[in-house]
Order: sequence, then structure tokens, then C-alpha cells
Amino acid sequence: LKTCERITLISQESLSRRYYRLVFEAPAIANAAMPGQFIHMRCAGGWDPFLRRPISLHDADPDSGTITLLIGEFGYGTSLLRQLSVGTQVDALGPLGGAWQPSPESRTCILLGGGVGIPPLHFLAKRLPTMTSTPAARVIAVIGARIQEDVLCEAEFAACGAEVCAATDDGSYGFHGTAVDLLSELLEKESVDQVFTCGPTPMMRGVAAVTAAHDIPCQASLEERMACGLGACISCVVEVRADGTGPVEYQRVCTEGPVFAAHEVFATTGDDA
Amino acid sequence: MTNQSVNLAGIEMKNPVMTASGTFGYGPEYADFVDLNRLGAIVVKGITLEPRAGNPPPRTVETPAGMLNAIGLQNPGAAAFIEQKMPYLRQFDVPVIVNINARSLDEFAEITRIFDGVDGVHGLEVNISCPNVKEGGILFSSDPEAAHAAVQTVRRHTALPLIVKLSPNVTDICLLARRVIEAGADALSLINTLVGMVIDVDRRCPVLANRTGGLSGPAVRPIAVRMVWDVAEAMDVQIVGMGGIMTAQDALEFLLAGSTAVAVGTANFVNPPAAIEVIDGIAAYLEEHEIDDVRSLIAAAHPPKT
Repeated sequence: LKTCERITLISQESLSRRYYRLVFEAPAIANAAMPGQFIHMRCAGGWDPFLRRPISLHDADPDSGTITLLIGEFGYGTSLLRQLSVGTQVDALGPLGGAWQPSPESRTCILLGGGVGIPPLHFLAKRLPTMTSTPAARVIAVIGARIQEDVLCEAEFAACGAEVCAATDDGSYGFHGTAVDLLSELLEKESVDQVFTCGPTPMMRGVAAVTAAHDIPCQASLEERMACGLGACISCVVEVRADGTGPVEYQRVCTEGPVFAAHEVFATTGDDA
Repeated sequence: MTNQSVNLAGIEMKNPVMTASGTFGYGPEYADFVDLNRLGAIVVKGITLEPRAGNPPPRTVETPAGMLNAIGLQNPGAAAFIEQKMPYLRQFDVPVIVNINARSLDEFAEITRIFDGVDGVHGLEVNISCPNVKEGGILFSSDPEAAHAAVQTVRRHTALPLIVKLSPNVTDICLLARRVIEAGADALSLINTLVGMVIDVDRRCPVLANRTGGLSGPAVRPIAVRMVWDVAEAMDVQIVGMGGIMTAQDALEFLLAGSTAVAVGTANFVNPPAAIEVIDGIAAYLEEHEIDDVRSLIAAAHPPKT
């Protein structure tokens, strides 16, 4: 059920120079949202900026009627959102797109992400216990970042019951290396049923390759420049190969995605980078 | 009782507001936000004879008061459209206008034959102006004789109302307009998008994979209004005015400039209920100004001809 809702900012918090968290009162969206879905929101009144911004849901709580967004300030729209004052109303469409598809039988899941890829994974970590058969699946959250300051949401993942590992490129915190390197190590010693990833494209491409090599099902959440968010404009397409081997076809991130089977969107052989 | 209905090229519309091709999908995409029965007409996303994969991404980029798009006519092809999309559209009491595109006269003939007589298709919008495909759009849009030939071919294969969508990327739009009317067009859609480019200064290359794209949104509105005005001044033809209509006020500009109907396009991306807001806003304007027939606004901004 997609709605167009006036949502009201009720709190804001700066997490680092780049990242911040917003909580909105948004009862209709909060009630319908599933992990992996996104909202398509205006950043201000009027027509500037002209288009909406797709933002992944970091959390949605039907009981309090609130949604939480974790946003990276990377451009004009996300800098305007950072300046919103508490009490401001903005217009949001949602929830949009499809959800992560954890298998009820999965016993161990890895959630691997970095940067603005963290929110949909956090929402998944929160709901996974109710989406897998009892006892709840073991969840390992792998958080990648360039530097320690950008290692996001460790405590929040732990609060969801996840085991948390961090990797930094410069070794300033946790594992010294990329999250993909850390994943390779983990898969050598752990039996893992499913991997979920969202983050920069090279990270997800690496995750797709490593999981394919271990024959572990992997889902990736993608983004692409988007206009309508409703499937009409056909802007936000990505190349998809059915079963990883079929002919390339364009599918919409907003409608067929944003969650795709990783091996269908990242060729695991060849040099398509 | 105020009359809001118009007759466009033989198509009875409840009100003069339709959706612009390529901005409203095939209808169901907006059904959560728009009561399709309230629309004057639906113009569906452009259809070609065979399926088209479309252009590689990125396909759109935001611009000041607008956006560029280079979708490249991704569509399932005529047969799949009729089989998969038309049954949904037939449920509604709203005229369906199919936007058709082709690379050659033979393709125009064939796709017209396919749509002629399809239940629920009320008219064809002949797109000779898509700026984002190498073959077809650019050729037919810029050469008056090629445009004439395309429209004449379509006319020979159907009695359906024909609305021809013209490109603004020409020196003299009146010349194009005159030739397609002579070829049998019943009305004109003005305007398609303006070719533009945005360059990513960090990567030092155009943002769009297609390099160029079509500019739409409020940024183009004054150009579109002027072109509707020019064509309305130069000849007696029905016009569907479009280009950056966000509100009823914008739509009224197009009616006053000489449009019989208007199309809401890019606004659908920004504000899904935009078309309904435009319909309601025109009704409110008529009431406020005690105008009993929307048709009396058509070309009303032009000085009386002597």
C-alpha cells in the first residue's frame, strides 16, 4: 500500500560529519513498511530541489507510528534535509519497492554494508528474528568504512541481537581491510545460509563474487538515479541477467528492486566493471 | 452548470487535462494516487512495434526547475502492450491515447495497423519527436517532408484521431505544424522535450550515458507556452499544450495561449496527484471567474482577429 503522507520531523541527531539521523512521525508508512523498502521524499517546500530523494528506511515502528532515516550528506538534497528543524512537515511517498527476502530456514545470516547502505540492513537486523523460524537466526553484521568515524550503528546492530564486526580500510578500527576481505575470512570458518548487502558498488560486487564462490545465496540492495519512484519513468534501471546467465534486461530499482539477487546484477565472471 | 468537457480531435474528454506520454506509465503505476476515471484522457508511455531495451543508465538527471531524461523508449512492444496493459485500462471510463513511435515508414504503417480497431484505444499520438533515439525521432521531427510522410503513412492506415507530437528542437515549428496537418493530423501535441546536457565536473563527462537528454519541467514552460501561442496564431488547429505544467495556473496559461487540452507530465514524478489538482484548480478558476464553459478560455489571450 503506497501512500503520500505529510510526515513530521520529531528528532534529529548528527552521527558524524557526514551522517545524521532523522525520526519522523509517519503512521501510514511506519505501519506498512518492510525492511529493504524506501520512501521518496521532498527535501523542502516548493520545487527546489525539483525531484524527490529516495531514502532507505533505517527503522519503522508501527506502534509509535515513526520512521527513522540515517542519511549521508552527499549533495544538495541531503544537505537541505540536515537543516530541517524539528516540527517541519515534508511530503513522502512510501513505502516503495520490494523487501529483503530472508529464507525462514536460514540459521545464520550475514548483513554486510557500509555508509548509506547501513539503514536497510539495520531495519532487517531488527525484524529478522520475526522473519525466520524459531529459534531466531544468528545474525552477523559486518560494517565497513574507510575510517573509524564512519563505522555506523555498531551498538544499534548489537541491540538487535546481532554479532557485530567492523572493518576499516586504514585499520584504525576493527579488522584492517575491506568488509569484503573480512567476509572472506568469516566464510572460511562459519557456516552461513544467506548474505544481505548494501553499500558502494565495488563492495557489493566483491560480496557477490565471494558469496558466489562459496555458493551462498546473496541479496543486494541497489540504487540508481530515480525520478518518480513508482515505476512510471523507467529511469532507475539496472542490468539484470536472469539466473546470472540470461540475456541482459533493464529492471527498475524502484519496482523490481531495490533488492536483487546479487548474482543477477553483478556478473561473477568477466570484466564488466 | 459549468462545462469542463472538451472534444479533442473527436475524442470526448470530461475535462481538458490528460497525462503526458512517458510520465504516467500505463496507468496502474499511479492508481494509488489518482482516480483514473477523473482524467480527461490517459496518454500511455511510448510504444514501438517491437520491444525496446532502452538506453543504459544513468537515464535522468535533475536540473534547475526540471530534469533531463534519456530513457530511449524502453517498452514491451505493441503486441505485449495490447495483451498485458490494455485490459487494465479498459476498466476505466477514460479515453486511452496510445503514443506510437517508429524508425521507418513501414514500421509506422505496421504499428498503426496493429492499433487500428483495438478495443479501448481512442486515438493515437504520433511521436515524431523523441530526442533520445538515434533513428526515428530526430529524422522525422526536424525535416518537414519526413514528418509529412510519417503522418501521411499513419493516416492511410487508420481512421482513429491522430495527434502529432512535435519537437521544439527546430527552427520553425509552424512549418512542421503546417506540413503534418496537411498530412492528415487532427491535432498537435506541443511540446516534446528540449535537448540538453549536464556534465559531471568530478568525472569530467556527461552525467547521462546517452550524453544528451530531453529537458522537461517548469524550466521549459515559457518556451512551450510561446510555441503553442505561435502555432495557434498561425493556423487553425487543435493543440494539446504541455511543458512544465505543475499547477492549474500553469495549465490555464496553455489554454489561454491556444490549447484545447493540456497534458501534465513531469509533475507526476514530483507530485503524483498533480493531474487531479490541476483538474480541480481549473474548476475552481472557472467558478471564481464565473466562466460557464472552459472552452471559452481557449486562445482567449490572443488579440481578436480583424
